[in-house]
Amino acid sequence: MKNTIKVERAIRNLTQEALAQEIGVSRQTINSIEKGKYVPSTLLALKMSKVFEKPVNEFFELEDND
Amino acid sequence: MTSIKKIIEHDANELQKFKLLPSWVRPIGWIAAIASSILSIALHLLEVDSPIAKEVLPSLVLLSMLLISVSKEQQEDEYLLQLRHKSYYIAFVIGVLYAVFQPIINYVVASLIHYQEGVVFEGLDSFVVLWFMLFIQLGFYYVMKATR
Repeated sequence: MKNTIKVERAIRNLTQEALAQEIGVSRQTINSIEKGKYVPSTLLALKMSKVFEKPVNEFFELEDND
Repeated sequence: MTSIKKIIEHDANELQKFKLLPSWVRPIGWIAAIASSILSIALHLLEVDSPIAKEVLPSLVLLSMLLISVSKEQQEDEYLLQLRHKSYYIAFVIGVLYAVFQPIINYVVASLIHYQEGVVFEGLDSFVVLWFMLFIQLGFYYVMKATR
């Protein structure tokens, strides 16, 4: 699964730390999600959706091997 | 944003369900583990033969490592919880394999070295197995946490 969280953050001028605080996780967790090392829970994805004000599938996308 | 706060609160409650001890327990666990380990090694080197050296200190080492293992991080979140689960899985699997195969390896090696004297097959002490499992769990957890 790939994601465009980094882009979404840049659009809203949010640092990893700011986004992390907004959704109640650590900065390292945001970093791992952006790098694709960690796939967040539905709950966390929905929290991001609230912050970015767009549906989850606009910043998370399935890849062929998923 | 209010609903996000509610979700975060809900999450915090969900994390609570895993029953981790508060984060202030962790440093206490570390201090107790280091102190009891040093004392244990010192008494062993000095060949002190007392119930404290043989029973109390090993139990204290295990309990303090358990405290480190089951206490929360300053900022516990779902990713850390996943790493925690992974580390318990790894420790369990490696621990069972260690308990089964280490005595066999010990026996084979001892047989090769002392082949003329005859070697007795000995299983592992429960302290050794539990210490090994806790060590593997904590080791993998901290490595995965540092490289996340």
